[in-house]
Amino acid sequence: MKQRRHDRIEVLAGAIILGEATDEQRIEYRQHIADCPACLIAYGGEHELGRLHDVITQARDSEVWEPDVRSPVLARAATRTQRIARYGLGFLAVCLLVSLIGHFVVGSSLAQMAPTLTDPIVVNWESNKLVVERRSVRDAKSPPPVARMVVVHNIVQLPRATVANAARAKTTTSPVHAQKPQRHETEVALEQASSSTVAGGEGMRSKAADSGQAIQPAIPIWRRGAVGHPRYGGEASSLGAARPEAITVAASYTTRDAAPEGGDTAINPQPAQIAILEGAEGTSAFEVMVDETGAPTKCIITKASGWPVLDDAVCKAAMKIHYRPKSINGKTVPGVYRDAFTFRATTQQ
Amino acid sequence: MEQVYLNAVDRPVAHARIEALVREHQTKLARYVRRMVSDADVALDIAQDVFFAAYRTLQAEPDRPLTPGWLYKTATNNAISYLRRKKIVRFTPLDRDWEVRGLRIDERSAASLDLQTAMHRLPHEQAAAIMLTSYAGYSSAEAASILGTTADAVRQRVCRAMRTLRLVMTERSQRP
Repeated sequence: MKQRRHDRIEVLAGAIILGEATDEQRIEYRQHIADCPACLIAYGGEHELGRLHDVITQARDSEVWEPDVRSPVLARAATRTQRIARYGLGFLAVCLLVSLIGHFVVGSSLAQMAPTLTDPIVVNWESNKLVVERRSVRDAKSPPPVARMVVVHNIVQLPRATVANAARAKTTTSPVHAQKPQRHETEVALEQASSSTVAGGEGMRSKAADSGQAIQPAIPIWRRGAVGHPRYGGEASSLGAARPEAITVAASYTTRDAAPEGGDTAINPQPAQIAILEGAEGTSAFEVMVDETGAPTKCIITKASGWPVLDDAVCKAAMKIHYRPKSINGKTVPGVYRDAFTFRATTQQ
Repeated sequence: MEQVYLNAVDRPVAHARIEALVREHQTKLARYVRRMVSDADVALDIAQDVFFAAYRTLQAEPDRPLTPGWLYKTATNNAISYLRRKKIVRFTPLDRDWEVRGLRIDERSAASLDLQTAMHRLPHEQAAAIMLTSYAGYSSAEAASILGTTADAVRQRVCRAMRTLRLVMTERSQRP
């Protein structure tokens, strides 16, 4: 408690020295030093405190020293700025030099290592693996895929029944089984048209045409069920009932008016390249009018493929070849040859 | 390089402000430091360090208001650091007036010598308090903010410093 009291008196004395004490604080200090001789001896009265403050003021006022700090400070500031700029330029120069050296060293080292396609440089660094190999531009480029077109030769027979055959169709209970469908696929590429590949059945078909017998119908695989053929669950066809559209498969008792010389693969349509590039697809059915000499007189597209370029190619190929006309009683008569081609776009490497 | 560019941009501002600060406060600050360390050369070095620190601060923050209190605070800290380093290698001088040799002859008045003698007997905190208040003219609250303490603590330190000064003056008056 006494210590606290003395601390309080020291604060009051300090306030009096600095001229910040209020009247109450001055009275409190006076009362204390009146009762405390030790504080009176140590600090003195208010007058003594003021005298000590005057001593310091006099000492300050008696000083005449005029130091000059401005020049050294500004010189140091300028030196520091120049030093930073100098170090910065030096650092840039070192960086440039190191980069140039690194460029030449690494470049020359890589040139000496000479990586090849068969002997690449393999760098194993920790878990990473770096393979440096030289590859020519030709090797790097993969060959572009070649667009090709597959031409499927469909033999389409329209129903044409004789009176005798029609009567037999009414009386017979067992349907005539259809033969295996005739399909001939020809690949047409951009560069050149490949030769037609003939599937089996050509010889049989030619014999049937020569002997004048009824030719068994050829049913395209993708047209199964579209017609009412007995083999495929349909009802027995009658004359004219089995022709829902131009390319429908004929009944088994149909005959052919005229046949192309050289077989069914004699007609070889070659679509223009624009058709291959555009990816044209579709089935083009046609009719060729053949006169008594076997020459084609007219070509009619009975079902368009949707691409005129395909239809034009089919008719152009059909009009190029010569036909074998129908013979009745030893005399050739004009006739009609019907056929269809299906074009499918494909891509092969 | 970016720092160099900023320095180049802010250099005129920092130079102008530091020149104004030096021109206005160099004498008072140097004298204040000289009273603290009792050495004119050391006081000059410390004053230069203080103004150079102010210059670097203005370079970094050109808009920062640097008050005289910031200068005195930095000078006080530098002076106290110097006195603490010096205390390690100091030995007891034979000459009783050795501490006043930093003063010029024309400055060696009785009051000045008493003050300088008392300064060497004071703890650093008391010396800083009495120099900031009675010598530099700051109030106890301002000195408290500079020294990082309370106003009552500053008053108490001033009182105790005055008590030492009173003893020194009594001793000097009793010297033959």
